[in-house]
Amino acid sequence: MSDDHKHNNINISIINNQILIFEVDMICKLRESYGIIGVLSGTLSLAPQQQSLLGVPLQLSIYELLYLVDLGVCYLNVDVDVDVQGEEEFVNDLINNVKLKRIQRLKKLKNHGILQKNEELEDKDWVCNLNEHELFIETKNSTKQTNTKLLSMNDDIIQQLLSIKGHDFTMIRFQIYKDLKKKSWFIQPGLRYGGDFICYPNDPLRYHSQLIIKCCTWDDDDDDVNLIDLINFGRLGTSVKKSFVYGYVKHDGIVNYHTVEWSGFG
Amino acid sequence: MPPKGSSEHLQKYVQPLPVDIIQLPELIPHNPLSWVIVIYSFLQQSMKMKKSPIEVRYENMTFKVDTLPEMKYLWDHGFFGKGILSRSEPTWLDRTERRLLKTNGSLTSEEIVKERRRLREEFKTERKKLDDLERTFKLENNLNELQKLESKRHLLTEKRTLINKTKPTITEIESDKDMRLEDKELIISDTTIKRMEYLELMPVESLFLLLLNSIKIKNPETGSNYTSVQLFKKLATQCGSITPDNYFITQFLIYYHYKSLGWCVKSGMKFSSDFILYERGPPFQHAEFAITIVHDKQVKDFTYYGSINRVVGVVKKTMVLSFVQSPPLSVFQESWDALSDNKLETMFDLLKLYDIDEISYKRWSPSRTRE
Repeated sequence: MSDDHKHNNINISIINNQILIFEVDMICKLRESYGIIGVLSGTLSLAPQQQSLLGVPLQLSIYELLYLVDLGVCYLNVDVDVDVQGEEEFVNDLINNVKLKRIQRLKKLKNHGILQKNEELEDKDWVCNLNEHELFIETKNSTKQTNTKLLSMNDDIIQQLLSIKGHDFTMIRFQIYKDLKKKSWFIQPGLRYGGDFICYPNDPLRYHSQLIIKCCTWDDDDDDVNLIDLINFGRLGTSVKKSFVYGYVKHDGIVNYHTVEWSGFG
Repeated sequence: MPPKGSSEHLQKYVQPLPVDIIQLPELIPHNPLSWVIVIYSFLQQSMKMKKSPIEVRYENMTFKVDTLPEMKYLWDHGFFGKGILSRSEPTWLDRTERRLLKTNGSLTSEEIVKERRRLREEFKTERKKLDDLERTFKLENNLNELQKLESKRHLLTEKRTLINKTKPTITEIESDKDMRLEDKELIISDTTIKRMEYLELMPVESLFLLLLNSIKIKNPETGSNYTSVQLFKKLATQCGSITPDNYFITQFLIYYHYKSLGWCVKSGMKFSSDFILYERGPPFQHAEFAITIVHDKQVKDFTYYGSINRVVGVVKKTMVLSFVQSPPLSVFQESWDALSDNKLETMFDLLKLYDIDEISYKRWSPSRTRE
């Protein structure tokens, strides 16, 4: 892979089951070229207490990641055991530091003649090896780049990506996501309106969202569309002036949509 | 209809349940006259009492009350049921008589709501006109006209606040002048109209009323009346398999729970909840709480409860999650098998196996709550 190619493609890190992007250039590119917004999740150092504006890293959903993989425009950095190794060392260092402090105190007491016994001190000779001035502990960066190749959609990759924990993935949602992208909607997570996705006609900074998408299966008895849910979604969509859309995939792979509305007559 | 919480309502809706009680004056044992008064008042009141429970028809899984006095009786005593052609109180006959026979009577809630909606729509078109005018004046930089506009706008907003506060009068209401084709079938004579509306009771309401002995329901198969336990068993079997998370049993449990705490419980279907709670009843105030049942074996994801909360939040109610802790299957099965048609306590033994806990749910957004 040439450096130039690498430069043009999107570098995605997966850290602690979160899909993150750190370069601002890439975030702009995602927005402009692919219509992917993601969620900014970092704190701004200049205004750490506010909530409305956030900084890098940009967090992507599993659907956004899979979509990019499907397009073949990204490569991944996957972390290996970053928390396990780091954590253990960190805890050990901490324990040693605490021991050191205690022994220093005992020494002091002995010097003043308050403490008579020597045994406790003699047991802890190993302490001398510790650097007494070390107060701040450096956590090591154990991230390593495992995959610098461009990803393409194949079963291995999908399995690998789906093993990322904490993402409630279903294939149907991804199919619907892809179909909506094909229809050039800008898509954001739909939690705040009780759906799976919310759709914007263009950049969310310029437009209000118009659709709330809920994905359901076409002929699965376990996933019936509940009548009371229909009332719920109809009312919800109407009260926030959006269309509530049920999306489902039929056997032939074609995605269909239905909207519900609360007309409130009577 | 008088405004919410008026004294007229307080006098009309005195009894919270369709149960007749006899109130006796004070008895003074050594005063023979007071004995006479007590006996007279007892006889007089017992004469007026309803002789027999109201007959409820059970067909196609719905509970129907057909006769007008009984419909009114159940509504006035605890707000039970729903008129199928009305919002809640069965008012279809009143409305249709006014429309077709031009009779007088007080306005029904449906008519008031309709009129208010019309006024609000009127307000919106007026506001739109003013907005358009404002734009043109601003482009012309016509300060004089803009000032005049501001006072007009002020008047309009005042009018808007009045819509919710005042009650429209009958003369204001524009009734539909034209007869519809199907209206001809309704008119029997100059003074009577065919009665189309019946009162529908929720299954949980029906069982509750049957427990109070206020209604009787005929079993078409046997020809005799249902006992409470029989009806309980029948409705539970109709709502899926007999397991601790049976839909009807859970619904009745929660209904009975809030009913015994003194709330007026109505269906919350309109707000995608299970029940809504009125402190006293629909004519007095808006419902304060919307109940969503969370069964320990059927907990759904966060998005589900979040979306219900969005709907409940819009209508300014508090969402309450009622957690139902169910017994293990073996214990439940034992109690279910022990149900005996004529022993009411066996039903309550079964219900006592459940635990109920409630939590109120509120949407809290950190960035909006900050100052």
